[in-house]
Amino acid sequence: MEVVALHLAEEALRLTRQSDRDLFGRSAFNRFYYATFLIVRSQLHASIGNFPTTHSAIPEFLTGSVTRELSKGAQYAKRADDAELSKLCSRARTATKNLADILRTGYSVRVIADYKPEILIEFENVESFGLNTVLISEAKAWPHKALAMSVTLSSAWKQLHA
Amino acid sequence: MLSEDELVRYIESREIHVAGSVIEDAAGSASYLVFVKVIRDSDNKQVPSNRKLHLVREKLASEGTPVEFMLKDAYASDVEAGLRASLLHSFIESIRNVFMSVVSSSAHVWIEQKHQLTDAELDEMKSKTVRYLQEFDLSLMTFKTTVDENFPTKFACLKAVRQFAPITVAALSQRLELAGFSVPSLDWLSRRLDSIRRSGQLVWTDGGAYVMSLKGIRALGTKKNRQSPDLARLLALARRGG
Repeated sequence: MEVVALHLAEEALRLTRQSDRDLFGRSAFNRFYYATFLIVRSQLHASIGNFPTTHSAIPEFLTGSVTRELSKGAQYAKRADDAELSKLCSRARTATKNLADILRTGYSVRVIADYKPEILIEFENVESFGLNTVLISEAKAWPHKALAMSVTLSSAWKQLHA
Repeated sequence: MLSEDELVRYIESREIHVAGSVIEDAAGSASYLVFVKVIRDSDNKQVPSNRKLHLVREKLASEGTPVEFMLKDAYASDVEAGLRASLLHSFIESIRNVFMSVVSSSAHVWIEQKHQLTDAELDEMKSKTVRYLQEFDLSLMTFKTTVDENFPTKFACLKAVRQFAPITVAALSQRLELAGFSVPSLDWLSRRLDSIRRSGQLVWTDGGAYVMSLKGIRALGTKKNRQSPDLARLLALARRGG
């Protein structure tokens, strides 16, 4: 999916007709979001029980019950004098917030890309474009960043629940 | 429910700056998606604060206009991009990407590595990161690679001993591996268990197996639900006919 997104982004920059550039550009945002979503789902769905299936529910699930569970985990770790796990829980909480932010932003941009054709892609220069103030360079980082954050979260989760 | 224009006016009147257009969520949840520009004050604190955003969000929801705020922190993005460029420039053979998250004035940094990094390489990257962050009055809170941190922690070892005690080091190693952990060697696990024993949470029996001490059981606590460790213990005993 990410390969497709990268290709679409390159095409958006290469093409000259404004309407084509817009279509390729918004499709690139859409694919970067889906690449990110699929990475998060494949990393976390199996390990975290009750993981939501709807796109819009995942960020709230992460910042709600997952964060609460990590906070509880940090308390258990402290009681067991496990500084290593306590630090891991802290990192996982930060990662979880980042992940929720990425998914929220990505989902919002995907909604604009798919349902708001009146909001056009803005071309910054020959190398960059954006949609509703979100740059394509930011979207390109979503899948990698989401993978890093998901791995941190699933590591902490396994330590607490295995 | 407020219209898009009314919503922007309402939010801006609370000194929260909307970036781009306000979007009505397409998922049928009758809510708005709002991008908000955030900046940093002289103490590196986020403006508007999360608390302020939360209060405005609650107020709007109570008045029938649910919103979801997406924060655009240009400063944090710039610092992250600079750190990424700086580390990639110096360690292009070793790392693929760098991510950073800023919480208050602390930075959490993740390194995506191309190969297993040596301690010396990591130390060098870390000190370069610290020097870079100092320029922005940020301190380095964590510096980790993005690989799965898969060795069982003390807590995970204790949980497994609690469930399967009395258990030898070799049997515990198998149990931990079945649970998805990597155990580097029996010697590594023996040292870890011995350190827990010295802290008084485990007891080593004459038969060469480990059991929990009362201190260890108290430290782990219990749960009165289907994740109860006592139930897990009973089931494990039943399975082996104990």
